[in-house]
Amino acid sequence: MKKIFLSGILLFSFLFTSAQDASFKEDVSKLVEITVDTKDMSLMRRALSVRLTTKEKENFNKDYDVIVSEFTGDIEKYYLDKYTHDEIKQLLAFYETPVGKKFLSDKRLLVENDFPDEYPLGMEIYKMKKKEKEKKEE
Amino acid sequence: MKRIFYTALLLLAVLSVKAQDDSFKKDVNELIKLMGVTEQTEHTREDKILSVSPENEAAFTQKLDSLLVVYNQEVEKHFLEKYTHEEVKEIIEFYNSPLGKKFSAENKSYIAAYDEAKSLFYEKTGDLQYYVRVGKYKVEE
Repeated sequence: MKKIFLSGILLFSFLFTSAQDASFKEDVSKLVEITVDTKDMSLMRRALSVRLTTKEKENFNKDYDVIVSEFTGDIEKYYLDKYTHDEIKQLLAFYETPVGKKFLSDKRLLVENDFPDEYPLGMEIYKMKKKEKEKKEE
Repeated sequence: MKRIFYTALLLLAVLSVKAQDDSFKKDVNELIKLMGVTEQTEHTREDKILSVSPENEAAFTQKLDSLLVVYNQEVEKHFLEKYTHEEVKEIIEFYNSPLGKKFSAENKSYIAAYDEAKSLFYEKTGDLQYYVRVGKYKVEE
């Protein structure tokens, strides 16, 4: 009887921990979904498969989607390693406020070097390099 | 006497607006630091310098640094024009919380992790591009 009781407690705590882990992972996925911009990846998927037939495209897209989810998976792993579930919940709550939403859209661009809209760093450096190249070719 | 009074009133109003502007600018600059613009810019600067040949490095670095001066001004302008002072204060308040402090201290580690994940993604995209070229996805109709 005692053995059954202890096994029951063990099973219960195991299930409880699993549920907690699943909810932590779910919140991290939510956070990554709103903080990581995969718009460019969708455009790239279309560009790379432009010459493929419908069936070929289908197979290609499957492989491409796997590498996109591996990418977001790496970012999820970062958050799971660095932050607690409670901290992730607090971050999500901040990003849900009006000012948090506004700030988040800039933070997303920052890490991609697309910030700010008026002078995106990556694009400005690209333009500078292009101008230099053209000058040399003249 | 009346003229002196009005001039003083005007001066007071001008000084008050200027003090408000200065305080807004100060908070914007604090926010720029907290959100990791400095770390991101430094990371990109190093990365771009590494991508040029050694003989072009000095000239490129000089041009890049001039561009970054403009960039920093544009970032400041962006916050001054697109955000209210209240909004900036609200975000700083978040950064002053224990989580915000940690979030800011981890700016560098996030940039590194993101960059690594993105490089790996590009590598895999290159592989897929190769598979397309060699006909891996070819389906006989």
